[in-house]
Amino acid sequence: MSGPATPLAGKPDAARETPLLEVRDLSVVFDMPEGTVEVVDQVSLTVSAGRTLGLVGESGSGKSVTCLAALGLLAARGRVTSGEVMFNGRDLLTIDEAEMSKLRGCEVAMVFQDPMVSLNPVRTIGWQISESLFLHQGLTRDKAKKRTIELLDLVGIPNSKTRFGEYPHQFSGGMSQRAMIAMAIACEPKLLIADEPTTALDVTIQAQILELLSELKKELNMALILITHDLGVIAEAADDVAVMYAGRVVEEAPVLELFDTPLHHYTKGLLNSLPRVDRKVDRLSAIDGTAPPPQEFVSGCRFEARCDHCDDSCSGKRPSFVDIGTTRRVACLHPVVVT
Amino acid sequence: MSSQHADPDTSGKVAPARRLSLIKRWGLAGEWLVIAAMVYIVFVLFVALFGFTFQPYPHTQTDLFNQLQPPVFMGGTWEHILGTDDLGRDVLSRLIKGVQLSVLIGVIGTAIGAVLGSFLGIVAAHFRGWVEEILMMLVDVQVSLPFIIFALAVLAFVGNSLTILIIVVGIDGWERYARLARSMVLSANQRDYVLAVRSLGLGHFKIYSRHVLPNIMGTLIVQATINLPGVILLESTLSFLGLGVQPPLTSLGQILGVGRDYLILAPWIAVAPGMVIFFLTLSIAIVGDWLRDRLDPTLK
Amino acid sequence: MTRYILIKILRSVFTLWIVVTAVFFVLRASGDPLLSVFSLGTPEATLDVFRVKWGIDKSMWQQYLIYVGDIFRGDFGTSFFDGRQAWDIVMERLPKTLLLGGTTFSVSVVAGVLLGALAALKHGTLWDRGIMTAAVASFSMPSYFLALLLILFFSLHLRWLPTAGASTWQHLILPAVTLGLTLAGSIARFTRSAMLEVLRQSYMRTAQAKGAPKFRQIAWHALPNAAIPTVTVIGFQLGWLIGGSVVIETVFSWPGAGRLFITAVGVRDFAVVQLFILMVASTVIVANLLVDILYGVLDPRISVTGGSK
Repeated sequence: MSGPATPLAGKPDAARETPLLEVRDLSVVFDMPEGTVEVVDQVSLTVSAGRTLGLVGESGSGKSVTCLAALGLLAARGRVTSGEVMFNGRDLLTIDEAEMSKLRGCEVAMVFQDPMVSLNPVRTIGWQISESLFLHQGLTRDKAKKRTIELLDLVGIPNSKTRFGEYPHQFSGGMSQRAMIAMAIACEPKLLIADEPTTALDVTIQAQILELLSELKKELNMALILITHDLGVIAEAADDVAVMYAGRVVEEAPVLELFDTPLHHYTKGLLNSLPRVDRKVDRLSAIDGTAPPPQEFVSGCRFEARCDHCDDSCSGKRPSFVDIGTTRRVACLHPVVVT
Repeated sequence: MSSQHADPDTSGKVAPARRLSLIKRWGLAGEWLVIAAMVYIVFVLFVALFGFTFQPYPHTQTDLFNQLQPPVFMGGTWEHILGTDDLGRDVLSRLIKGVQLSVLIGVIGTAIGAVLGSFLGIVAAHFRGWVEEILMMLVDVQVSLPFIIFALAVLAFVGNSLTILIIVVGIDGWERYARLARSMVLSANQRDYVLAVRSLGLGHFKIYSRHVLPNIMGTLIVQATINLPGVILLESTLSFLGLGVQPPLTSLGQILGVGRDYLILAPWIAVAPGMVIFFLTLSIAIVGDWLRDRLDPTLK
Repeated sequence: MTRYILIKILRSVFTLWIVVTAVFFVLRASGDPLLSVFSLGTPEATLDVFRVKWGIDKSMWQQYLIYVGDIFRGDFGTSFFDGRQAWDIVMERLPKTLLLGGTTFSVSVVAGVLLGALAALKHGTLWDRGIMTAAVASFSMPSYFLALLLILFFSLHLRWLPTAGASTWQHLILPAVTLGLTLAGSIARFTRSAMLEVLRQSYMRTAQAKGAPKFRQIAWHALPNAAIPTVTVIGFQLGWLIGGSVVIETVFSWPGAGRLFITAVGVRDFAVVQLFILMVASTVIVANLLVDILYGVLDPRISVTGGSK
């Protein structure tokens, strides 16, 4: 199912499989004119074949940067300072750019937030999807075209034969995102990273795209990382959730448990700001204050300034993870008491 | 736009309330090239304004016993620091005089182009319709003829007094301001604040002078800074070719034109004014780029 | 698209007509053309003979109509100086100008685009700063002064290259370098900023995420996009090149049409000056037209929407 030689493959509890992707203690810094800022601080994540990991957090929390860094897609001023990114038994941070190019788009693929600007405006949709096939499978023009049209059908783009020769500006937002997804899954990757795939789209289209991603995940048995700031998206599509705040993961849990009993006060605050149908909420409450920018990241708990439950022990030292059961953990000295 | 997540915003955070030197406040820290360029421009302006006070000789004073004297560093005397030309005139004195006229023509010429072009652009944007059509056609005409060819023809056929020269040089580049002003006014007229003051019944003139112009001024000034070196080069080229500034007046290009004939015997006559022009246009270009990047990145 | 091009062509013809008309009247505003040909004191009777011969006895409007009519018949008038057809005089000089201009243009476009792309790819490095400083310096330099410096160094000091004339290929080097440096400098600058703009677009990251190797990202994804604004700018540079060659041909005594123009302007040779300006304007207008069409070819967003920017 997942990696070819995974001993636990086929066991019913997918979460216990050897993970397909395991990010360990990844730290990323940006070199700015004013100095170096650490935007991702020792982040660890795991995701297995057939599972969807929802990576949730506010913008600037480092969720996109974590994934870009894992694939070596950081902008020139970004640097990984420590950590490992184990994918299928290989550390992606140690292999060179040429090897990485062979991997990207083939075994790991990525879908970006704004499909309208993520497609090359002077190339046809068909050309751009075929390119993946040409690069990784060496298909000839005709075969690539045939396969591309199949892919367009697969992601639900009508009139795929005509659409093949059209340019991105002739596509709507939703159709563009479908094309982006077709491009990403062209070589049937083992892992698909979707970075805010629905944020730029209309609400009705959002649901369709999420549906499509879930279907494809099942069909191709991919692992899916879904980056979003929208807990609604998480509830709809994720199996497991990692909550990021100010460059760190603060809580990890299966999706139902997270929504049911959030353990970190930040997670709880996020959930309280969300309208619920399953529970009567008197009023929606926003968390006071704002998330700190990377230059103001402290070494202690970064949520302290906005937290009602902190005490002197919270500042100064980074709160370490506490395992709760086998499936969840939280980085808080005074987690929410489960009643 | 996940690139936004990848670029943590750090621009707003500068060390609070610490007293910064002028250099830092203007964002000049480390920009040595820009600082050097500014110093040179100030120096040239100073020479243009006050050069007459320390000009060693009248720029027209000939000395037939001291023709083609080399500068001090090439074995000449301190009497003529930068040597003399074919008529024994002091090169330094001529340079000072030349800087004066070149800077004068450059600045006035640029101002004429900027005011004329901006005015036409605003008029076009205000009236739209056929007025705008005519303007855009004039722009097409201007673009279709390299300006120096137009200028040479006019100066040769119509005659070249200093006034005509300044006007001709001033016309250069008007179409750039016109286009810029037109498009900016068109978009400004759509903005809420203009619609608001219009609904208050403010007159057109007041709307433009108080609300529209102040908003587009910065961009126009940056454009003028970018155009200035071109205007200075144009004048110097025309004078070099003998169709610009006429004796007894002198400009940098004209001195160079004379020096061209003595390139072997007395290269300093040509090299000295050439260097002055080159460093002047270079400095203005450097400062102009810097200004544009700081004030108005959209102009690129 | 065809409609769009047709409108453009009509507009171009109209523009050209205005140029021709404006030049005709501006040049006539300078007074009696005969005064520049004949010395003072030439008997009126002689002058009248020539006035009739050259058709300048008629009113300005008649002269204008005759001039425009003649243009359509391929007659561009005769030079007041050697009595030959202006067309023949200019055509005789044109090959040399085309040689110089063509060499300069092609070499500096290639060099400018490559250097500009290199600077953008090495953004922020010493390469970038070096190339950009050189570019700014190259177009801040008065071209005639650069010409003199090159002559001083390569011809007079090293004695490697000839100072003037056009008899061998060595004669071509200095004028071409002088003209080309400025041109390459500004093209490099535009290419760089166009390229930088493209490189920070999201679709470049898509290409990288797709697994395209670095070279492919640049050649197949970045360059076609960067070409769109660059082509426009290069088109506009053609006019600049023609203007510059007038000066440079004079400095290097290059026997081309540009130098002919300076001579003709000096002696107020109407027919030659008018024809030269007409040819320059048509060249620039046609070049801009080609750029517009090329723009539509390069940018799929334009050809479909019908054109207007």
